[in-house]
Amino acid sequence: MPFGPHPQRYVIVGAGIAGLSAARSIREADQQAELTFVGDERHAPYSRPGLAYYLTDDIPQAQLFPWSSAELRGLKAAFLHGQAVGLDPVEHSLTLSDGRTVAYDALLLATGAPAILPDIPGTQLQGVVTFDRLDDATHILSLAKRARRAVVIGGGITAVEIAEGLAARGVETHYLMRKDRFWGTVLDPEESRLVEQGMVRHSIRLHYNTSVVRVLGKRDRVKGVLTESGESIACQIVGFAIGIRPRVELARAAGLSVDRGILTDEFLRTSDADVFAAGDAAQVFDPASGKHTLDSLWWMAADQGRAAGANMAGGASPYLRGIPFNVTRIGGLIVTIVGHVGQAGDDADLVSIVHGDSETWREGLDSFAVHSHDQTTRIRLAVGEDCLVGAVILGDQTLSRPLTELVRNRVPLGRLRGQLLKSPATAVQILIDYGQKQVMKRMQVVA
Amino acid sequence: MGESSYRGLLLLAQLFEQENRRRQALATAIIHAEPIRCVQCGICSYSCPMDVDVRRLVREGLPIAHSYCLTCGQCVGRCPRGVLSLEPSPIFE
Repeated sequence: MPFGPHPQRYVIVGAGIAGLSAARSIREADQQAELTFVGDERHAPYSRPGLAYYLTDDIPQAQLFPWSSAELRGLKAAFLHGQAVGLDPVEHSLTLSDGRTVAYDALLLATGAPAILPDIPGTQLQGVVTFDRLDDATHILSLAKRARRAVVIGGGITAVEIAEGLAARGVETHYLMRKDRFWGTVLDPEESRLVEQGMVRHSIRLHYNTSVVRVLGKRDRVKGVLTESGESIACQIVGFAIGIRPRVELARAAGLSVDRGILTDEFLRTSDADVFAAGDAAQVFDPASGKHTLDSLWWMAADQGRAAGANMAGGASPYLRGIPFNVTRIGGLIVTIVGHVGQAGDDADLVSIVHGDSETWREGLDSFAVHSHDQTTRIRLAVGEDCLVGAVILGDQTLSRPLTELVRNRVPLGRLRGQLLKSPATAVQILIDYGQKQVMKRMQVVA
Repeated sequence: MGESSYRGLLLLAQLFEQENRRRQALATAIIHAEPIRCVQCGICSYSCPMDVDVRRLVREGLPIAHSYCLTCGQCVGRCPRGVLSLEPSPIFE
């Protein structure tokens, strides 16, 4: 691939984990060039996934900032507060909403993916919230101080995070699901039930088969929701987590190739040679599957940022996507989801992925499900033709490490596959022993 | 000695045994991290009674072998992503 001389001016739009990781890569490759962040948040870079634990009061706000000011100074970057509204790839210039322009030689769009609102009346009312950023978290907390009751609508991890946060702050919280269980495209019925039980233990009231057709208001404030069956539920907060949409407006207006996200090749390069994209905004080409995929995972955004930064600085390192996985706490349970674990059917609560989510999880490859359940853990393995293609581990996470390794490294199962399908109760243990042996073998090879 | 007080003593002995085992496990363990699971939320550092910045060590891929670490397990127990675990220390093997 042709790579020109090193750029002199790097500009990164968005100071989330993708942008920050890119900056570190650029600085490793080039100590001299100008580096500028453009962002519309007034905070130092923070842990986006950590916001959930700020909502539940596990940590104070001050704990959300992992990077010390010395580390950030070490990037030798300028932080421009503003919203980028125009991009001219021919002139190599970015325009901010206040009219300032910023020139670049290499640009990274790490603009993220904000939550979307449903197309129903009343979503403009005060008290309607989504949960993307630190400002959203502080807004939810300030509303929670005065609110008596809240309604949460949507699915996936984000809906539970909002509901658990509100419940932890003493707000009577009602979680509405359009069908009969939680996250039906990724979790199986038993897993949904365990998470739902966990939510109930956290004082969240569940409503099944309930759709909201309107947010009700008095003057400009929320006073309730109206359901499809004509019931109204009085509340002061309505939280929506029905999906996220990559912020692509800047790229689209500049004539870059855009689908659901900003399209990039495996080097994170967009259709313009000097513009890159990474993180939730990017729909990145995966040579292994031949597809452009959307993910909203912290470590993937960090990996993409690192690769994009290196390539912006003249490198040629492809981004190897790997098998998406996430570990999260929902309903008080730690849950690991890895690989292809999808369940058939549509998720009525979601119109797209949410934060901490991957499109891959919805894909159920040709596989058999094997379950194992004891008092503290439930494990589901998706057994493919020659290896494990996915796993869901709820509860105790001791086994999730070797199992995640097996899936991510596509360790061949050989004759174990037959044993697995024949005796699922002991199969999990057989697999883990086998997986550990494989890992040990690989480590010996590396050593 | 009546049967009920004998059972009480037995229970007490079992409790001590459990506690002893727990302490031994903690004293001979190290904190192991799996950085790829970490989202830098900082609950670990926040819950450390000795103010060890566990989060930074995980981020930088350093061993959590701070001289102040008591292996009390607070960070392990509170991590919402299963990043940390107590593993037997190789020096006691």
